[in-house]
Amino acid sequence: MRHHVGQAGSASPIQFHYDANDKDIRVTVSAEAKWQKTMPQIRRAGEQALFLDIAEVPSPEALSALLQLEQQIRLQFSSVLLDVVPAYVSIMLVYDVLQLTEAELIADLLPLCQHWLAQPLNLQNGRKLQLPCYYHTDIGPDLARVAALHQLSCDEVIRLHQQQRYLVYCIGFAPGFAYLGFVDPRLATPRLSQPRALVPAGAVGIADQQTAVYPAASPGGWNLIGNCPIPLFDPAKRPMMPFAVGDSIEFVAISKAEFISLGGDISAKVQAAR
Amino acid sequence: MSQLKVLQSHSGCQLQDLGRRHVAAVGLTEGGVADVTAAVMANILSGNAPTAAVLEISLGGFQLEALGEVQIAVTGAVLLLTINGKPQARYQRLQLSTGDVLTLGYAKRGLRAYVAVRGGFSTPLAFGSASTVLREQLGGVTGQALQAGECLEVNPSEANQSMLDLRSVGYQWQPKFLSTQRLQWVAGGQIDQFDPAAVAAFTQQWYQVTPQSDRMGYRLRGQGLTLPLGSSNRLLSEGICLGAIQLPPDGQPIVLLPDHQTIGGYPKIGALTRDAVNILSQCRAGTLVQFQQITIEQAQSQRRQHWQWLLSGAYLI
Repeated sequence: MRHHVGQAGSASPIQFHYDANDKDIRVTVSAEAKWQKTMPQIRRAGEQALFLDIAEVPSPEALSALLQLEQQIRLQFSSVLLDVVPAYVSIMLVYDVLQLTEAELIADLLPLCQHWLAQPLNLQNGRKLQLPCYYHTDIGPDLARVAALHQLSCDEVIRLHQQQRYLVYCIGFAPGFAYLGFVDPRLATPRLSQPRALVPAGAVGIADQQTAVYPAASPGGWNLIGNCPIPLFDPAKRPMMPFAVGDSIEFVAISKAEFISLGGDISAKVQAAR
Repeated sequence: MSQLKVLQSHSGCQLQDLGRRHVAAVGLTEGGVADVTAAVMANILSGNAPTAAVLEISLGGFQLEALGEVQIAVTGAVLLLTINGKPQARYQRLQLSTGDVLTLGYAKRGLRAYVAVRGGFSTPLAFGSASTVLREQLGGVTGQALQAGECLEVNPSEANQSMLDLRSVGYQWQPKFLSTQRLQWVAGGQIDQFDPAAVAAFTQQWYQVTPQSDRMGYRLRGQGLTLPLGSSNRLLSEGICLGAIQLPPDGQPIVLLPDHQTIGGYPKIGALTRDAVNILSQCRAGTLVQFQQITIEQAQSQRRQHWQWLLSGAYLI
């Protein structure tokens, strides 16, 4: 299934297709008109939850618009919302059915959506963060393989990974796990066919066109190229995560010594699938 | 302050309340009791607010000792309930004195029992909730299931004279745990991408609860429901709501329960009502279920009425 979407900050906009065997989005480059806001489609999730669909395919403009809408909804509906889940191109609202019906909520959302539609896009409305990353074959066991696969040197992979700003499109599956999009097509690498039994906390990985940092040790199938020593999820802190959907991340290479001084675990190892 | 000391426990014995709010954006799940009806009845019987934390005992096999005078009530699954070895009634307010041992045997019908204590538990909250989510290590006393040797502090409470005469739930209001159940649901998700005839057939069929069912979700087995040929089974990940009916590529439905992941990428046809989730969460492997579609108006009106009825205590005798 191919979709054409508008400009993504460069002269050549982005084309997506969904791999039937993989959840991730493959991104290639083609030519298209500028993305524009349209009236969000409201779709039911369940007895106490609704979706607002902002766009057909993800893009920095759509994400910025989604963030704008989410902020306004949270403000206006704070007394009836139980939770809000933004992801890629949709926002799911969980609301208190004891206070209002679906029809009432939709009726109240429409003027808010119309107001949002009329607003100009603000591409600066997310926070910009930098994450330190120690890139090395010792701590990123897939670094050499990713390089070889794309006929690049490890240094080129490291450079390409750092050279762009990634948007946080989605947070989920595990607390603190943020899906960052999109990597340079020259780095896009499918997931491991068998996930590893254990990936250490802080591992920086690539899966197709997305990159992410594992917030805690867990099984994982992403291609690991380095490790970020900054804790990305701490239930004892406020906020629990340093970023949210709509923010953007830039990776900055650090040395082994800096990695250790920032609290990185230099001996953390992966465990292969059993 | 009275305490309840856990003598015998396992990973299915967890402190739960009505779940966590405003945490999905960081990937934390809502959690909370699987069967709200049973949990709230246990609280109302005990003279608590409906939202007080309770002990959710899945499968049974749990024992505690009272340290101090407490009043408790046990609802939910049919199991042998004893105090110091003497059989007691479920769905009734019971008195425990220091040294009394309460034992819940193994569930014979239904799956989850709820133990409420008058005054409620004074455990610290994690993000506004006492609900235990094991994989997140949140909730409960230490982010884990109840541990043998652990002491649960009970909040002091005054005797409520008007409550004293209403000590039980009328038998007709106690759950029957049938081997076949109809589960009400509302259309939503990606239902428009499914063939309407296929969805209609789906609601005529019976599905069996498989053993691969837990607080995250129930896997059901039956004829299956898939998207039309040529559709992509994958879509962009989006939020998952409680009760969502997910259809992975093999067509075998998965219904999401309180410990569900916050986002997912499989197509959905809608979601069970909260009450259907209560019912499904008490179904053991082998139970046959059938999906019965209702309108959103019916679902929401029923939900409001059910909640008001639960709070009213109209079922107490």
